[in-house]
Amino acid sequence: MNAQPVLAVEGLGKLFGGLVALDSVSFEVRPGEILGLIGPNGAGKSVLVNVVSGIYRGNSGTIRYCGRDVTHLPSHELGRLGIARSYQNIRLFRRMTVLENVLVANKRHLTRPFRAAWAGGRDRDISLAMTLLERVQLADKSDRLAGSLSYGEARRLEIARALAGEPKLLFLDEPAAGMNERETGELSEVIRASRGVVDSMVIIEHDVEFMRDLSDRLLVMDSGRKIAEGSPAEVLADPRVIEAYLGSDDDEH
Amino acid sequence: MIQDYVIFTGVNILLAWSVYIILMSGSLSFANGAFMLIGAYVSGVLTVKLGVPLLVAAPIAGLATFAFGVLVGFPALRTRGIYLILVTVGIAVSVRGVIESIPYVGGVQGFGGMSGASPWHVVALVIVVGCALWLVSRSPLQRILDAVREDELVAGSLGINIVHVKLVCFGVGAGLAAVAGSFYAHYMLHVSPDGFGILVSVYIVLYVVLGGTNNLWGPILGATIMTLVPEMIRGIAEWRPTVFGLMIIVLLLLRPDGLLAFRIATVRRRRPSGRREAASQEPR
Amino acid sequence: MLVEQIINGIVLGSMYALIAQGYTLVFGVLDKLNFAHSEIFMLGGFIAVASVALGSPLAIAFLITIAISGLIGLVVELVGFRKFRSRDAHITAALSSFAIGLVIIDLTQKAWGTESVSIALPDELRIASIEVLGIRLVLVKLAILALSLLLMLVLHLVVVRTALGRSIRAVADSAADAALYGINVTRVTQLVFFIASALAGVAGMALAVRTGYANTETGFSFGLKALAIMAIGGMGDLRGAFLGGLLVGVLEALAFQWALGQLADVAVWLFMICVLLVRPAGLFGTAGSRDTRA
Repeated sequence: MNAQPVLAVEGLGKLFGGLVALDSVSFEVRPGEILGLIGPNGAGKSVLVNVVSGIYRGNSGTIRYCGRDVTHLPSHELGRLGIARSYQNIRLFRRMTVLENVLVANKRHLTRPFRAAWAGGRDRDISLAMTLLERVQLADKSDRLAGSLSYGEARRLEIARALAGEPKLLFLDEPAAGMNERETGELSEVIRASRGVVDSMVIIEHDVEFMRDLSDRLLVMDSGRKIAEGSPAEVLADPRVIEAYLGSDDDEH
Repeated sequence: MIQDYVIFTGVNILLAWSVYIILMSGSLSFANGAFMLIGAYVSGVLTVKLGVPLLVAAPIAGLATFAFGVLVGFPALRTRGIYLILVTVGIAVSVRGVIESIPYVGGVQGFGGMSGASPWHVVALVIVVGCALWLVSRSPLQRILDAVREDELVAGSLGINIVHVKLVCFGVGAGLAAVAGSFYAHYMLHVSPDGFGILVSVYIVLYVVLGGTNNLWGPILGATIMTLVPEMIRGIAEWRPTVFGLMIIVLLLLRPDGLLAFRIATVRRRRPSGRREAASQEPR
Repeated sequence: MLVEQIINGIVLGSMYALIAQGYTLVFGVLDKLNFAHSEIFMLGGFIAVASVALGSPLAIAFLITIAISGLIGLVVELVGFRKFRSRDAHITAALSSFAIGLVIIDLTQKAWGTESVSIALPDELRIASIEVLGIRLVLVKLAILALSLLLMLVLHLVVVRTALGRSIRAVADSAADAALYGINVTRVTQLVFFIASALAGVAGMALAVRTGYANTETGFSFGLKALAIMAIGGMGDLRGAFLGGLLVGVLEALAFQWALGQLADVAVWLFMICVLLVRPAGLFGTAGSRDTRA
């Protein structure tokens, strides 16, 4: 088994104008793990994911993916290398159907999109996509427009779409936001079920309870810095972590 | 004359499709009148001054304009939305201005001497392009284009090379407009910058806006309505810009996606019993 | 003479600036481009011609032009922009204003024909000139320059010094916030359209007086160029539109001086493309300009 981390981030910094959004953050993601990324509002969690997935360019630091330096790669190359993500405010292709949203992520056509005009293998693509939809319990809604889904369903579709690219590393940005207890439970199931499909996951969440049981390790951020890293038990008992959360607004869920 | 109707409608359909092809990747181009102009001139020079037959000259003009489209597209497509509109307007005005100042092709007067074009060629071209668009609309390429059009950022992180997709679409649209322009000029037996200003580019975009921006049939409908209706109803021909303008204004207020506004899904799954899945609902 | 050409350029530039400021006002407040604007400019010339033909002295024709152009601007706002308030609707609004522009051109051509229509002013009035320090200054051009500068100065003072101007700037910054402060965004938008269109109409009248005739081509040739000028000067920046207009006017006049006139048009648009690519905030735009790439 390869013990090389899937992702190794070193000294990552990001400035927005004069504002320090990320301050020399270093961490790693190990193969096969679910890493929870938590912290109060404004801690920089989403910024971190945006930089690592290529949407923002970092100002300093390096990012290594399976040993390879990917710090300056654009997001579409990172996508092709196996980094996938979902978005905080759910960005589905609302005008396409559920099935199409999953199909479009199929890696087969991405490098040569224009050749896809006459590509074969349609039935195989569809059955693979349907398998994924079954995994997230959306198979019966495959022809519905993505824009007509309920919030919980839309979240699950986003995950299915992210998984369709057969990624090694999946970032979920606040997947449980706005969900009630039942939906959070379903989401947990889906995430656990996805462990076999994707190598490693990084989940950003506010809901500490949700993360406590789901994650193998936790990473805590505050004000752009990493303040703790370790097993959920250790991290959540850490006085610095408790203080960071007490000092923030407590109005979640 | 019937011949006129066929050619003008066919050419306008091709032009509308040229805008539609670029629109499929999310860009609205107001430069297609200029691409049409370039095609007309390149093919005209080839046939009139170099004796090349039209059926060879037109594709060459198409390829040349494809290359030109990719070349200007590379910087131009860094801009988005309104800024892209401005840049394409700039391209349209500049191309016309440059051509007007070249004495070899007759400057402002243009030049003639073409030996005609057959409506059948235009019909054949419409059928070929239509089939190609239809095949694309049922393929994974359509989904990729729709993804780029709807949400570039997400499409990019899925692994789609946005720049590549947009450039090729821009080039193909430019090339198609050029071929249409070639046939048009040869039918009219004359080409001059006058008929190809920014106004033409606006009209072509409005054909697509009228007919529908989300599928290949919309441009056909828009181009056909705006070409044939003024011919059929005598009074309207003289008032074409006003009628057209008013139609667009009203349409945009009521149905901004155009008359045939629907998007055709690339796949629909059949249930095991053979019955189709229930019709999709409107997005919330 | 070089100096005379430069002065010509400044006069020309002041007309460009009037139109460009109109584009800027609307863009500043709505983040959208009004493609009917250049046709209102074109129509301004015809309104002036008609007023003079009906016997009005120039001053009255001026007021009539302002009033009618402004009113048409209000119609444009209502039909082409009122419904398309959201950020994403800027393409729809642009298309709608294009369509309105088409209607304006066609109706104008139906009313006055496609040939140029002369303005009924005695020629002596139009070419009267005085000589100062060896330079020949055409009085009409000076008058146009003075009027344009005056109008733009008034606009500047209104925007910067008055409560009304504060409302406009507030809406330009954020319509949502302005509404929360109790500003009637619709009224402010209407006012902006009125002012912008009135300026365009005045510019049209100025051109008609200067050249001696009105013509339906001017919208696309002259007026649209002012759009490029706005982009060069800085989208949504009044000062940029002003400086950009003057700059382009002078450069164009010099180009004609050196027999490069034909390419002046092309040069302006190519320059605009370069500016949008390299420095989207424009040459004179302030660094605080909003991010111009969606």
